[in-house]
Amino acid sequence: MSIIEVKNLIKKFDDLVAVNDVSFSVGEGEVFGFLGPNGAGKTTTIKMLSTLLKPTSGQALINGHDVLQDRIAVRKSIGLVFQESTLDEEMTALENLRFHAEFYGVPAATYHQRSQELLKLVDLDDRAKKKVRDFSGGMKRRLEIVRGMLHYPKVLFLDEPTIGLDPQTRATIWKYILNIAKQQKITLFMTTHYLNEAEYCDRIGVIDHGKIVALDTPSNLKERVGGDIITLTTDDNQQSKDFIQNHFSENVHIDGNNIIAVVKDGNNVLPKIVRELPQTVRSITMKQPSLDDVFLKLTGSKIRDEAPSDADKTKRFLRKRGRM
Amino acid sequence: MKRDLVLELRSTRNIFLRDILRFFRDKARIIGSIVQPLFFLGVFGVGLQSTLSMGQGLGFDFVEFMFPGIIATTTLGVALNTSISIVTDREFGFLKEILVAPVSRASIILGKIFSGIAIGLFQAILLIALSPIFGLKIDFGSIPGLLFVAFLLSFAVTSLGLFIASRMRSAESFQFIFQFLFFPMMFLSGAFFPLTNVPTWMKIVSDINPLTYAVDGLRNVVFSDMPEMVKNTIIIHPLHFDALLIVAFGLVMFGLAFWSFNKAE
Repeated sequence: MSIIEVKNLIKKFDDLVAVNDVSFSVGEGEVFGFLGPNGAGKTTTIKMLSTLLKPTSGQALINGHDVLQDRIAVRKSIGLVFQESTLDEEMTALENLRFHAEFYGVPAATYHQRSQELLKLVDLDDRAKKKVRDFSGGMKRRLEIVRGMLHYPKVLFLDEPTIGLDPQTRATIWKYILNIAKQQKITLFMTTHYLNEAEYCDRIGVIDHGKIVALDTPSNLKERVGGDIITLTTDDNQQSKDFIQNHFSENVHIDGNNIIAVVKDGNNVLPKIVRELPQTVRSITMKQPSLDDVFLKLTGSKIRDEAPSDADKTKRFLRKRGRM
Repeated sequence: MKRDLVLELRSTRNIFLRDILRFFRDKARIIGSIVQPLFFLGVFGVGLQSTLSMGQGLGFDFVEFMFPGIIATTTLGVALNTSISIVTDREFGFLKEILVAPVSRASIILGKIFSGIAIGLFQAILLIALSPIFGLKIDFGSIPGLLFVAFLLSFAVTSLGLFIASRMRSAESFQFIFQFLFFPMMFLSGAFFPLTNVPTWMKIVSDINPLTYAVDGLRNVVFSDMPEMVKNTIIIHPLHFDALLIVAFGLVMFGLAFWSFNKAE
């Protein structure tokens, strides 16, 4: 049974089509992700699925409830972790959780037991009675994730939950998220533009310019690239390229000073290339295809996997100032 | 259906309790809420008393005349300020946590109104308790009446504040509107001088100022024992008329706030 059912969802802002006729479904307990660059329509989709934004047209059901007709029922079924912090910093960790539990009608006894359990799980139990103001970025994120799961939602939406955190903290936070979700059989719907995070997903929807360009498991997506990627430079790139094309792989091209070849079974092919190539190899590297390569192949552009640019920061600042 | 109602009521209480918790945790606000009225009473009341001879021979003095005005203006300030939490919550992102909760907007707004009323009443009680310092003798019998008017005013002003807050995106702009409203409302409410003998333009402005009716209502209570002749010089309307106008203003603002929050979604 699918817990999220989306049919022909469209969102237009004046002339801009942010989400362009998107359809997909997510099964119960699945870890599902949207991967795409900033502005691809990921957040807009999450906002529509969580009743924060009205779709221009199309239909979306969460846990069987329509996001337009039955908003309160949808809200009861979901938890949300936003890109930016939504904690009350003047309250303690426990007070923030308590506030949340009241809204979702979690009985007092359940709340006490659950908040202790969850805080322990994310190593915040010794901070429970401290004001959030003094928490580090990673601690705040962990608290928000715990809060999003406190009422045991059917679906937890995570909109770039680890944005702006260092790689180590990101990995730890994902460990917590996946752990709790598995325990409570919570379906995860995440968006990210960190490629390594998309690897946690059971299935990934690659989204670009408001459209889903591919939807598959991470390993299947990577297979679409066609094999391992070998990058090399030689005395004579042109001749080497022709040689590789004739002997090893059809899929080879010159990119600047490099020859880039996609080969099956790279571990065996790489030493052969070095041995048999008539030209002298100056440098050679090999890597397994990443989701970035998948994205490049599917859309012809790269996902910027980097610290937020100035434009992003401005955007976030404006959003903070702007509506909602 | 019944469970839903329980959830809505719990949410109202939830919003209310958080505001109260935050009020008492904010030391600066507590101190401000004590110092500001003392300042008003001390500087305006006692200071101006020597230069103004108002009430002489009529059986009351300027501090007594000012006192209802000061209750009204401080309650106005405090209740209006309570609504700013919506704007700061928006700025810090916390409003999202409130807006995605599976409860109706009405429950949330009600919680905010209740906390505004509670904090407004707290302020009024504080003022009444401090009044002996300035030589005021408040009749115990008039305290329920004073709190009743303060209650209505807090309701009306919190609703007004929520309506403004629903449209404001930053605390700075809310502060600007606050100043823009607060001072004219305060000075043109009859808090500092009687409105029984003022130019027509000022009369018109004060007639549309809801604070006028609060000040007048409070004076009705404080000066209830005075002879009719004295009352006529400082009181404009009967108490029930004042109360009715404040409530009407409050209900209109409440409706606007509700509409505005639903729309902004």
